[in-house]
Amino acid sequence: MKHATSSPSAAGLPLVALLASALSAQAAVTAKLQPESLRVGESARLAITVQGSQYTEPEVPDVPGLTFTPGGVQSSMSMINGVVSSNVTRFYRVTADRAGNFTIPAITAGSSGSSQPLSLTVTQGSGRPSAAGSRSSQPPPRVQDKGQLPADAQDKLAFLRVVLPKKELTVGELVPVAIKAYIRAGVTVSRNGLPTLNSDAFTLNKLPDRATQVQENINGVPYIVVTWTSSLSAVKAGEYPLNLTMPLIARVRERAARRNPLQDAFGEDLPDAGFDDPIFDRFFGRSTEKDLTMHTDGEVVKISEVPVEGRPADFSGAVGKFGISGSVDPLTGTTGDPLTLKLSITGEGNFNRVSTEGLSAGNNWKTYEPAGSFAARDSSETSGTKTFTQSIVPLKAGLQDVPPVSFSFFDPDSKKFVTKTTAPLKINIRQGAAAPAAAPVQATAAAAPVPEAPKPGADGLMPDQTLPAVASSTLRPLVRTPWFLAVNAAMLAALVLGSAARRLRSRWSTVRELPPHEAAEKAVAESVSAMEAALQARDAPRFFEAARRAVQERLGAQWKIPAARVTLPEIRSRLNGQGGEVRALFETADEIAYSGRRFTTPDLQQWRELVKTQLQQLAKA
Amino acid sequence: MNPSTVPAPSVRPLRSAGICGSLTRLILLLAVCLGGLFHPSAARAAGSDPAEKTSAAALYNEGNAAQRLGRAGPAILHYERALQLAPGDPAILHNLQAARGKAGVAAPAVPVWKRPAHWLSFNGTATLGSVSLLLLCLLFFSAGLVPPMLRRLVKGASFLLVLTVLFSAAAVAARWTELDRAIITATESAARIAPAENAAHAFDLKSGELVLAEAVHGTFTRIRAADGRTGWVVSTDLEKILPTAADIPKQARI
Repeated sequence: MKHATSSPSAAGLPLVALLASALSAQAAVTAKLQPESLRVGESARLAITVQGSQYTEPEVPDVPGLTFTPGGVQSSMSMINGVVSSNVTRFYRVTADRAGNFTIPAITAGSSGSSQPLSLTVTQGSGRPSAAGSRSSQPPPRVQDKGQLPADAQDKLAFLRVVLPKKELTVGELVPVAIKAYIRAGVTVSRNGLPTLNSDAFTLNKLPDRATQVQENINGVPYIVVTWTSSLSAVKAGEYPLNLTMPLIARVRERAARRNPLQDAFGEDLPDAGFDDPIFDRFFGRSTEKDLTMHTDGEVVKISEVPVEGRPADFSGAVGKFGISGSVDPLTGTTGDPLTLKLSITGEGNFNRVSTEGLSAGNNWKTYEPAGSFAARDSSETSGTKTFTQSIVPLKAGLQDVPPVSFSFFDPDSKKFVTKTTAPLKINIRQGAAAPAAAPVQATAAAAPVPEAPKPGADGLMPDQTLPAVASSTLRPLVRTPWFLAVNAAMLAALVLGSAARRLRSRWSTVRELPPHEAAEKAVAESVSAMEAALQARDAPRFFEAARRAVQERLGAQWKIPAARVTLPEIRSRLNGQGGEVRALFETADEIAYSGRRFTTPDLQQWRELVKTQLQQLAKA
Repeated sequence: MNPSTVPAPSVRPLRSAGICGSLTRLILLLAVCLGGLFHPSAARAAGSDPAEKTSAAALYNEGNAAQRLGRAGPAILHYERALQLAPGDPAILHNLQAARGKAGVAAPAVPVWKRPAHWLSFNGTATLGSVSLLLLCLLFFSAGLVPPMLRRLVKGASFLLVLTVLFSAAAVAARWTELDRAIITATESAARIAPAENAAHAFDLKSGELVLAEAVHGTFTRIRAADGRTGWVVSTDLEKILPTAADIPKQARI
């Protein structure tokens, strides 16, 4: 049984008690429980009223299975016909851990008397399902407190302790931890934050929002003990002190600067008439708040490294004690029809590192990546069951073995790696319709039956597809693949460079066709010879053709263009209206070619002289 | 799985190929050949990395398995991936629609002008352009060897190839943002206003919801939801439909 008192908020209680003591009254203790029957998980309200001249704190009895949580205090004082009576009522919330009939024994309050025993009937609750994974809905972990309290604990107003299940940890190991703040009953303090860890060798998981609060007696001194439970993980090897701090605000009352009027009047020897009682300071003193910090005693924890030698290949970093079991649902199946392999890893340790690749793919099974979910046994999440669900597809018919699945972890107690495996399972697999047909298909196109269009199944999904013999596709976007970009860039560059090269080559070939000076002179000489031969033969068209070619060769060499491009318009544009004889020669040559005009030999001789003169002038130019 | 509640799915062959399907497969085959030719490590790694090589059917079946297990996010992811390899496959489209309907997430709308860009898969479009470019190069550099009587034909083919390259480039450009599409695979995901655990909550995302992964910072990814809202989600809550080399290890084992 746990019982607790609230933070001492009954500031006026001593005053009531003092005044009540001055005026005698009948003392009585009454207790009232409401309701007297409840379900597990529900709570009842216990009101303990102490009435009389002497106020004494009621002693809540220990009742196994019941928890008493303080819920406040109420006090009143009345004076009727000179008779003063005081009532102090303390309220408690009573919860039960289990169903059954409980009897709360008589509650005593010093000399004030005792109450009547109370009975409480607790029935099994309807059991509202708690949200999976919700830390707040899970019970706190049980952390056995084997540690020693500080030797001078009863001399301290407040101190902080860390309760670990053991003092030697392994890197990665996750253990439940309890952080206890001891505050002497009657000391007025308030929390200014949660306990925080001051060490980089450990990590402390999130502390719960709500802490349990009980009262403990240390060498007869009552303490309010506030306990947070969570989990602690070791991060690095070595010996490190486990230091935690917790900020507090303490309310301290200062004595009022007052003088004793009776002593002033009657001298120092007058006995104290009760005016030095601290109760007066509660009313006439001034209270101030002070920030305090509670520390743990820095107990050293030894942290060992997980050994590298002998580490199994499938070790995923799990440290603790685990067991593995497997099951397949359903126990019969059809080839191509997915079955569900369920792997349950149960135990204590760092479940965040518990993982398995499940069943490996093979000739008989196609497997998919398993999905895991963790159901913690308590709020520290250091114990529970992690379940992996894996879809496996049988590929062959017959009685098939589901091979054992192994899981390796490091046992920090035996300091050894442990590998546990599931028991092999036998599954009866029927041949499914999807299996490849044994007989070769020899149907012709005309005889081939029209395949029926697949229809969605009861689950609304179209059926599975046969897998190709070779999985040759890739999801990787080609446009973000360096080799693809490089190949395309190279092809584009080749196209651009090829086009440029082709244009350049065309231009160079044109340039190469330009006659050099000697070739031009030779061509001119040949044309002049042809002109002489035509004159001898009295062939005017050939004469003018040769004469024009000779001028074209000469001008082409000068202008560095092909001779064929030396035309009448070119001559007009380049000579700016000059060269009338050359133009006349070209025009006459064109005229003879199309009109058949006749020339006499003297005319031709005259033209020969003109052409020679022009050639000489052009050569000089 | 209880066979009385879930019927044994009959396995059917891949759909009979239409023109688009045949063309897609031809192009993908060419892509594989190209990959083998130009990427020395591709041939070496073929078969050794299960994430590298897969098939539309395998992804589709994985989607079915996930959907039957009630995992909407991974199911939609696998269907989307299968659709990338077999665009327009009616079975994939049907199951994807069913998974989206069950998860309560809307299908992304494709504008009319973008639909031609979806005739082929992303890689199919890229490969079409690449192959066309390769053929164009071959024709260009072998023009001198072509008999004069075929020159007109070569010119026409070159013109078509240039058009195909331009179409592929435009299609890839139009679908460029799809490279960053991702699916929320976690059961539920909370978008935060900053990439930090203690950052304020912005909005919730459903499993299977399609988002754009815009940036990565530490363990967070900045996403843009379909309605335009942006936020930071834990990177493990989503997976890209077209994963890059860094994203791909989550691929299922075949």
